[in-house]
Amino acid sequence: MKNPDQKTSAALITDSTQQNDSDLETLQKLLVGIDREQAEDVFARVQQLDRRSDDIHEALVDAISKLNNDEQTKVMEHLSSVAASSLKTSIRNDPDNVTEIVYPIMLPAIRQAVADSMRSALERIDNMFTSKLSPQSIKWRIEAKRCGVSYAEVLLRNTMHYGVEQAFLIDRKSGLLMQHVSTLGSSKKDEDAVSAMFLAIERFVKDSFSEDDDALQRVTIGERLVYLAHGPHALLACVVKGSPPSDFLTNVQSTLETIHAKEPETLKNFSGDRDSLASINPIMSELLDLDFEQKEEESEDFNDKALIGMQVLLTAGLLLLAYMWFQSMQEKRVNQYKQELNTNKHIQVFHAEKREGIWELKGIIDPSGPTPPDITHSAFVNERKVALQLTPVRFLDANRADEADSN
Amino acid sequence: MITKKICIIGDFAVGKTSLINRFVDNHFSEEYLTTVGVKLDTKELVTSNGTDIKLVIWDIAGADELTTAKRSYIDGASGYILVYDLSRPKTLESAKQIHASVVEEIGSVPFVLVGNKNDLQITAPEPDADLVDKSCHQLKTSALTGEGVADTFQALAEAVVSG
Repeated sequence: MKNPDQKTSAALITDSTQQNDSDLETLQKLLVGIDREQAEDVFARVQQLDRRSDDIHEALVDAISKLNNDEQTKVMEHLSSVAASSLKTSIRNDPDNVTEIVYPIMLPAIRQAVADSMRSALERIDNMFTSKLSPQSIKWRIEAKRCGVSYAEVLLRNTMHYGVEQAFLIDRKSGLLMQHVSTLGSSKKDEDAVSAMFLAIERFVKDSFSEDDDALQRVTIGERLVYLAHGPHALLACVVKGSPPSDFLTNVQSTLETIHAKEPETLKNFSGDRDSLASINPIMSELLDLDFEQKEEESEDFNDKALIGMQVLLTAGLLLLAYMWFQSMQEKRVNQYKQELNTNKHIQVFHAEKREGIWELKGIIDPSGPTPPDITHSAFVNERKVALQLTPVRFLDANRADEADSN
Repeated sequence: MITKKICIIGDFAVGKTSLINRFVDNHFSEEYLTTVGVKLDTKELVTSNGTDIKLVIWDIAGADELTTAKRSYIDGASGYILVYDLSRPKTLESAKQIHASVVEEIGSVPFVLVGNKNDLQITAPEPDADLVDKSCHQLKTSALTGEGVADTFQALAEAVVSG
């Protein structure tokens, strides 16, 4: 059993020790408290994943925001492979998620592509029906036979004719004309007013009928089509005559992209001075050259006509030669007949002449002699086309000859 | 030569189209005003400092307030003519509203405040000093007699070139 006094003493020592610890702690807090808390905080930041992530996140955002262009490019290069892999994995794991994201972008694009294809196909079918029984289609059928190709091929080739008459580069904001090119005589109205009207119509249609960002791409005006390509700062409107191929708008769009790449700042800050965009003119003029097929076809058409003309001339020449040869042969045959008659001493043919298609042989005949033979039918002379006109005359020489014969 | 877009705006029947017809050779039929809501004309001028300028004039169909479509027609304008009818006080109020809409749409650009039909009895009050101060010019015109019409376009052309 312990002595109560000993107990009390022990308790006092313990209390004293505790008091000392507490004081020490207070002293420590006073001396190094702040540093210690900070050290613990740093330790916790390193040890605890959540806090570490928060810190990295903050630092990363700050670092990215301070990147210059070159650094940004480097970061993008390094991240691109990671991003691509992540995207692949994400699509593999949950395709629906990605579908949901790209759906608003892809659907209008698909819809547009299908609509373009359908429109193009319908136009071709319409052209086919329109031209099926026309005189032109008959000509094309003959052409197809002559060239040894299918009718469809000839039809397609002929219905693909087109020509770009005018091209307007239009400021997307104000409708001011930035550049204009045209074929000779195709520009009838003030091009500045027309340019502004294109933009007005584009905006009117967009505001009236389009719920989203659909843009007017094509307008039909009689036999002409106006194609509108849209860029960030400018519109490119092409007035086309004929039926351009279905990828024509893509070509126009590509030209507009080239223009934007060449003069981005001038387009953006266009102030109405058209001379500032003179460098664009050659690019736009190339659009007018897109009608080369038309010109080539016209040239081909001219060549065809020249060929046909030459053929006709040649045929006519050959026919003329044949006719002349026939006439010559006929004359020869008639002369032979004349000589044949003249061998008979009772007949003397003096003259042979063709009159109104009939050969007239004139001469004299001794009535005491035998009846002259008719000309025999040949390839060159029809006996009905030869008229023998012999005047009966008593031949003295013929009599002598007869007497000699009788003696 | 430089080309500038200007608009002519104001309430119904204040004489916007008549003012233009007095000044330009028409390029498009007035039917466009009822179908598309805008008609385009052009006019070449020489400013006092010798600058050749071609004005592309957007005649925007009358309304006491600008619809979405008409707001888009104003986009990119270098200046505008704000027209009211001197014989109809209400049209001056409309002009103030339209002016506010235009400023909201394209910001502050030069404009000429025009009181048209000066040949009729004037019943409209003088415009607020605030509106007059904001305008680069204030003119009274008559599309019927031609009074002040050319001056209006010339004043705007000068302001657009110098501004």
